Formats: sequence, structure tokens, C-alpha cells
Amino acid sequence: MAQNSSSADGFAQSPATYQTENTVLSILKEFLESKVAVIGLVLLGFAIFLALCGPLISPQNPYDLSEITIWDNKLPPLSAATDGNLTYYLGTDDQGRDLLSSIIYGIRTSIGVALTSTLIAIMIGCIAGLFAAYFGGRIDSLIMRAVDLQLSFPTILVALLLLAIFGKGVDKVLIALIVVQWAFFARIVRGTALVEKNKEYIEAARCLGLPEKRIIFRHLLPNSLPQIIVVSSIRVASAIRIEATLSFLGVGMPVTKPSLGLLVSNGQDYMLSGQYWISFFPGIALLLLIISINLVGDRLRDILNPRLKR
Amino acid sequence: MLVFFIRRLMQSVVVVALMSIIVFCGIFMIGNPIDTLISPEATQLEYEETVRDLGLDKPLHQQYFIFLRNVLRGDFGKSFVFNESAIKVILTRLPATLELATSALIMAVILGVPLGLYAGIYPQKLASKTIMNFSVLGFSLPSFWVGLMLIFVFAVKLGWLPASGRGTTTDLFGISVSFLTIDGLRHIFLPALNLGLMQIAMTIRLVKADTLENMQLDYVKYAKVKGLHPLRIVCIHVLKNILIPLITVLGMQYGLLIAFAVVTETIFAWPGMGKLIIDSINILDRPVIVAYLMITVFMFITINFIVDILYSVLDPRIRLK
Repeated sequence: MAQNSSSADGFAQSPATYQTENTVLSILKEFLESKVAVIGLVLLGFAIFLALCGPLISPQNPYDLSEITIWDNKLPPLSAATDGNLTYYLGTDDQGRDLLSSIIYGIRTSIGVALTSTLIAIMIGCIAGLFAAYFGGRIDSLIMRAVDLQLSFPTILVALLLLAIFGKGVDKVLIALIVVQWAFFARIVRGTALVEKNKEYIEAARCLGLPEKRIIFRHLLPNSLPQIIVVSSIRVASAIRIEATLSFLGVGMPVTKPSLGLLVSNGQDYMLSGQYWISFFPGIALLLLIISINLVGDRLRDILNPRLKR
Repeated sequence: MLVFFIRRLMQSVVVVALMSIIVFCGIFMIGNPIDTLISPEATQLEYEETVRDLGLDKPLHQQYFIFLRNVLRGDFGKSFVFNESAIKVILTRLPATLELATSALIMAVILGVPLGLYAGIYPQKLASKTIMNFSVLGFSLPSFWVGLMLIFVFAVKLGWLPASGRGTTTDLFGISVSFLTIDGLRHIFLPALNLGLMQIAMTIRLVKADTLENMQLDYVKYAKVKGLHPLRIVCIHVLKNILIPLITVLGMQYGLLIAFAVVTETIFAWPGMGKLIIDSINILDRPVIVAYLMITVFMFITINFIVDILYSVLDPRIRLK
């Protein structure tokens, strides 16, 4: 939802739109009409809260060796710690780490990586898309050729290809996610900007002799924002999924920065001996996270997309 | 048509060349291959000798052309692990991946079409709504986690199906396949279900929407008036009209299935290309990584090329663009 409020700021600064308070309020009001979307929003809010204040509320720091007890390993859910002052509500993993704490830290990593990469991808995609739409001609065909080429490969394959070359690491996962995502934004921004470009207010701005930079970023961009918001919510969910998949495969996040995907992969070896919880609960957390973002994103799409409006 | 064909072919060739540059630069610039090949105690003389033997003292563009020449000959160097030509290592695993991807598509049709038909014919029934909700879930579920859960439920708890490997294989035209034996079928069921999960969900949604639309059309009403058995109307007349768009969409998913096979093969220890690439990345078997990347990229460009050509045959408007 951080994106939503930032978009509101964008509207406020934009001279092209007015009645800012009114628009935000009506969007919010319309949003709350759908029960499923509200559930999604609450879940997402909770996940973001966990991501922000994770270290403060988690029962233990699973990556501080002094806090974990190795002989508490692979305990089933709801069992008590041997030193007695802790209950492992979701059980422990093979290192004796409390799974609940690991999941809270994992959500923090997953959301952090997905949000950062998507925000940078939005910036790059917006600039590329706006330039393509505004200048047209050779710049347009060059940028869109690159976009088409990239989107003809599945995202997971491109990401895997990049990480096969770079090796694993937080920065490398970020780069891979940015590279696989920018093209989606470039395409959607170009599309909406092409429509906006021929409208009268842009023509008016041109007649006023405003510099091109100002027309692009203060007029064209704010009016393409609703589309960007909708796509970005869905892309964040997919970034979380891609990152989790890569980490699960062992080519994504390093062991020192475990995301939800890595937690699931930790439990893979214990699945056959019936210790399901090590993989089960991180996966549930991942699933809820993805579903909540998708629910919120779907609702936003319904509200912001004028074509779907009654 | 011929002009379009040639232009599109040249585009593909350019893309392949571009990708080969990217892969070459990426692999050979970022990590220094000598460090992994030579022992740290080697003298300066030995070091220089190795560099010369590998051709690493030549300027970069010359190195690239040597690389390109070898690639065109199908020579990606020897795998460090298998001590065999890298391309051979990959090609021996290709049939397993293709078998898995094909089974996943078949699974999508076998499960997706009947469920979608049911949901489309009786959209108000509770069962239909459950089916549709599950199909939404199919898009959100992380496939690697579903794979683990399938193993836990069907292999560990119930013990119905094996959790890993290909089982007994038989030779079909010199390629070993699993689907001809009962044991092989038991082994392929879970991985195919896991890999095809998203495609199953997609098929359900597609078939449901199309059925809903087709049931309102005049030809169905006419068939009903004519007194045809409802089963005949659905299974022959409606199904025929649904299958064409479905096959087009599913065909385009084939590439995606090959890409996602990496995940499924890792979970179910399916001995295909996907598992090979992950293992190779983890032990830095560079020739195999390069060969895999080039082969997959080539495969995808070929698939895209064929799809584009087929589309332009079917829809002349595309050619004009």
C-alpha cells in the first residue's frame, strides 16, 4: 500500500489532476467494498508489519548462534524448548532454529528484495517506456525490440541464466529481478503514454513551450501512474515468487540471508522422514503473501482500469 | 510471405549471435577460468603456459571467434565432472525433460478439460465454484512447495507413489522413456502433475469460459431441439469448438514448461537437463553451463520462430506489421 500513497503524492504534485483528496478517498472507499480484497489488504498489512518490526517481535533471532540450541533440532510444532522459556509454535528446523522466527525474518528478506527490485525496475521501465513513446522512431523501435526479445523468454529462465553467470548473492538476485522486470513496465508505460500523448493537455503543454523533460515527467508520467500501480502490484508478487524459486534451487539468496524459498528448501531433505513442518510453514507464509498481494492488486486493477468500470 | 519468413529468420540469427556474445562475455569475463583450472602453487611459467594453451592471451574478439567456431561445431569443451563432451551430457538428458514437459501438457488436458467443461455447463453448482477457486490457487501456489507437499502426501504418508527418479525405462527408437511401463508411469505422475499445475489451472479457466460461451450459441440450442443426447452435444459439438484455441494456448506453454522443469526435476530427482544445470551451477561445471544456456536459448528462439511463422500463415494481418 506504500505505493498507493506515493501515487497519491504524485497526483498532488501533478497540475494535470485536481481534487486529489477526493480521488484517493473514493478509491479507498471503492476498495473497501470487496470483502476478499479487504482480507487481502489486512494480510498484506500484517506481512509488511512483520517485515518492518520483525526483529522486535520474533521470539528469537534465528541467526544469532547464542540464542539457538542445537539439540532442539527438528522439534514438531508446539513443543517446548529444553531450557523451558520458549514454545516453538511452528516447530524447529535442523539447526534448532525456531521456525516462526525464521519465517518472520524470511518475510523481511523476501519483501525487501522484491520491493527494492520492483521499484528500480519501475524507474528503469518508466524512463525507457516514456522515452520510447514520446520520441518514437528509432529510439522507440530499439527499446521495444529489446522488450519484445526479453519477454519472449520466461522470466524464470532469464533469471536463472543471469544467476548462472553471476553466481549467488543478494546484489545478484536484485540485478536479475530488475533485468527480468523492467521490460513489463517499459511496455505498459509506453502503451499508456502513447494514448496520453495525443490528448489535448499534452498538446496544450507543448503550445505553452514547456521543456520536453517537464512534459514527460510532470504531465505524461502522472497520468500513466494508475496503470503502473496495477502492474507493479502483480509484479511484486511475481518477484517474490521468482526470488523464492531461485533461492529454493540454491542459486538465489546466500545461506546467511535466508528468504522463504531457502527455508522451504532447508526442509526438503526431511520431507521423506515425515518432518513436514520445516518446509510446510514457510511455504504457507509464502503462499499467503503472494495471494494477499494478488488480491489487493486485482482489486486495484478493477478500480483503476476505466475500461472495466461499469 | 517469403520476405516475412526471411526477415524473421535473420532476426532470429541476430538474436542467437547476440545471446552468444552475452553468454561468452558473462561467463568468461566475470570469473577468471584459470583460477579454477590451475593449482595455486603453480609457477609463473606454468601459469603462462596454461594461459597460452587455452588461448586466453589472445585479444577478446579473437577469443570470441574461437568460441563461436567451436560452438558451431557443437564443441563446448569437456564437462569437468563427467569428463565427456558437454553437449553430449546435455543431449542425453534432453529426452527425459521433453518427456516430463509433454506429460505435464497431457495432464493439463486430461484434468483440465473435463473439470472446465463441468464448471462451464453447471456454473452455479457448488462443485463448479470449488473447481474455479482451486484454479485461482493454481496460479498463486509456488510450484516448488507444491512438489514437496505432493511428495509428503502421496509418497511419504500414503505411500502410493514413488518420490524420485524415472523408474524402469524402455527404449523407444534408441531413446529411453518412462511412459511405457507401469513403474515408469507411477514415477512420472507426481512430477508431471507438479509441473503442469499452472497449465491445469489455465486449461480449466479457458475451457470454462469457452464452454459457457458456446452453450449459449445457436448450434447448441439447435442440437438440443433436435433431441441429441446432452453428452453427445458436449463431447462432440462443444468440445470440437473449444479444442482449437486451447491447443494454440497450450502449445505456447511448452517452452515455459521446459523452463520450469528445472524446479520439478530438482525436487523429484528427475534426471533431465534442468537438474543437470542446477548441479552444474553448484559445482561450477562451466562447459555444461555454457552449453545448457546456448541450447536453451536456441530452443526458445526456434519455438518463437515457428510460432510466429505459424501465426503469419493463419493470420495474414501480422505479416503487414
